Amino acid sequence: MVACMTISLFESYEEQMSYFVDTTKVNLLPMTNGRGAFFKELGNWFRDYSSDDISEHVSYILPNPAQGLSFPTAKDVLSAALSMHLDSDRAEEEAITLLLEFGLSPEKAGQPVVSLSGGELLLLNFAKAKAMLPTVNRLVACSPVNWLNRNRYQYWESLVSFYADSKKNVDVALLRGEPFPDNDDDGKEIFSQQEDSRNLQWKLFIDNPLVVFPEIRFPTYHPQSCLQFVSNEKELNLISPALITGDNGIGKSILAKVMAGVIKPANGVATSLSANGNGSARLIFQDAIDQVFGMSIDAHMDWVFQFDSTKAKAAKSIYSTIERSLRETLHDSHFAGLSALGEAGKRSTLLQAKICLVAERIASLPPLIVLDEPGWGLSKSVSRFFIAEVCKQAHENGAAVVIISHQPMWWDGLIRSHVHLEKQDNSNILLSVQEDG
Amino acid sequence: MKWLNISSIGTWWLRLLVLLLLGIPALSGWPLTEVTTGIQMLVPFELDRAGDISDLVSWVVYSSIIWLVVFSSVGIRKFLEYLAAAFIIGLTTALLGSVVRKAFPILSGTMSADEISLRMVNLLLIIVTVVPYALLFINSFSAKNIITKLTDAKGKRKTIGLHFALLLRVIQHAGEVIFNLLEIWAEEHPDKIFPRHRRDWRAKWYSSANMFPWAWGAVFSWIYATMIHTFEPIPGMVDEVENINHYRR
Repeated sequence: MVACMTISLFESYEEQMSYFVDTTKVNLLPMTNGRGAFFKELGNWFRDYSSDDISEHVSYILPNPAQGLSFPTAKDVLSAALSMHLDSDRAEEEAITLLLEFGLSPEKAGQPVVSLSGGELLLLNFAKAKAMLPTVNRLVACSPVNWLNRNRYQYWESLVSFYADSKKNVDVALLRGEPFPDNDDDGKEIFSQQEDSRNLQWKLFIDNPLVVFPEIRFPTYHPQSCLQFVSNEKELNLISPALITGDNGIGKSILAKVMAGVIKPANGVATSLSANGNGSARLIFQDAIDQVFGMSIDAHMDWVFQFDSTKAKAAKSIYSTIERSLRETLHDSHFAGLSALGEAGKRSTLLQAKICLVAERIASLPPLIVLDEPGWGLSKSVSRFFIAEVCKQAHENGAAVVIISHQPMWWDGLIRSHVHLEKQDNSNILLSVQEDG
Repeated sequence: MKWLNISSIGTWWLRLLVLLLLGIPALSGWPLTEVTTGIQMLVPFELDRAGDISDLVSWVVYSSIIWLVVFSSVGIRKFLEYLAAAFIIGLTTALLGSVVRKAFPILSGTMSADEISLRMVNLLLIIVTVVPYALLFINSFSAKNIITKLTDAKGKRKTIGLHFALLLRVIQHAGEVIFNLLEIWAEEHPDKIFPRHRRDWRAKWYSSANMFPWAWGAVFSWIYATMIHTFEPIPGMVDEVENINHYRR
């Protein structure tokens, strides 16, 4: 089945993206280099673009699965892809069948793509790649299972088998050590982990927060839905760093947003207490790049702290410490992952953007910092070094750390407590502390 | 009020026609100027600024019609979201306009303070009418349907149509981007209109004047972030439209 699949391994997100652009000829605009660089690149693309340049038609999946979905709802995305070889009416019908085939319920058809979870977006990308199969020459997939729970790898395998049956190639671009079915390269050889010896204890107060997603009537219809996070105990005693796991679409990112005060529950609360006191967590989103708000990494740091020179100094110091430590560790390990930190003296990579966001949050002295899929866009070794450094700095500053991840095994030896989310019924999600932490 | 629901009109050209008819007063001024003159004639006594006040009244009537149609078409929640966006833009523009005219009287020419105030109220009314209408207009059409339909066409009409559909999709995408940016902003600035980190504002009695550069910077950050996040997927969208066009030919 996998005879037509080639796997390329990369040390950094930037190398992986460069490979993607070379392979597909689809331009990706830089999001962490600042406004000037973005508009310059957009202008260059606009000036140089010619439809005659498209030599080969490929379907693709990007590391951030939200990219590459050009239409507002799942049904539109799939019916547009299907319309390349089916008439419009059949394309609409087939779109629903495809959703079901890739583990998405028909209710997702009219839901705005922006409100789908990371895993659901990946499954939608799989369905789109299947829809495009008759018209494309091959599939280029970057980190195609990174946000997927292991129990859903079958959908990826099924997509690959469709391409194999049609004798079409699948090019997979992975970051070294990242999860992938039957991937032997798990980055084991790279390091001995430097753990933080502090046992920073913290509490999560969870009083059945209820999140209500109101009915959407326009432009497409989507009914009201609710999600309630319940726990047998109102006070969970945890040790930092803690891991939160759960199936795709169960509501991990929503819980993180509730803990951070970004989503206000209709009733109930979810707050945290650590050495820094009680309150809302600070959050780094799954697609962390968006959080620099279209600015360069340096400009973002200056903007956030323009009226607090003390914290600005603290954040810059934390940033320098984490980056220096990562450079030294990676250099001492003779590890090629150093490319994730870019050229010395220049801040523009995804890892540097993540360090900037973390440093800013640690300096704001919250009780808790939540990192949603912190391994996204990083190789396994770099992720672990990064998280180890984040924990050191956060703990030194009294903040606990939570990681949300689909890959518990990635964080072996680092994690001190583990909370698992499980569906009880349609709207209740049970939080339970696991003993394996 | 189902008959006021624009989105229930199945035929796209009929929907377009109804929306264009509804937008004529905002786009051309007709028949608002006639209504304004009519109101002036109805007032039985002399009134200062009668022209401006009549203009306001005619815009209030027109706004109410637009709001009723938008409300019936998109539902209460979306309607309130549209109004919130309209009032933020309207109030920012009107208040900034007043401040600028106060600071630079030369811009106002011979206008009195009352006249400027009425102009600003009128401006606010126009914005809170036009923004919900524009949002209803933009979201009433599916870019995907337009693209797939146009691929059956030929010649210049097709090229212009595909560019228009792409433009429509990019504008629609701006709305989706704002949803995401609002969450990012709320995480970074929990007080929404003030920065999270503002210790220096307490340093001196006049330090709170920093609020003005902050507000100015925030508006620019939003404008740039919205543009960058909206334009980011354009190369991918163009690629997809090219492919649909190529394979449906």
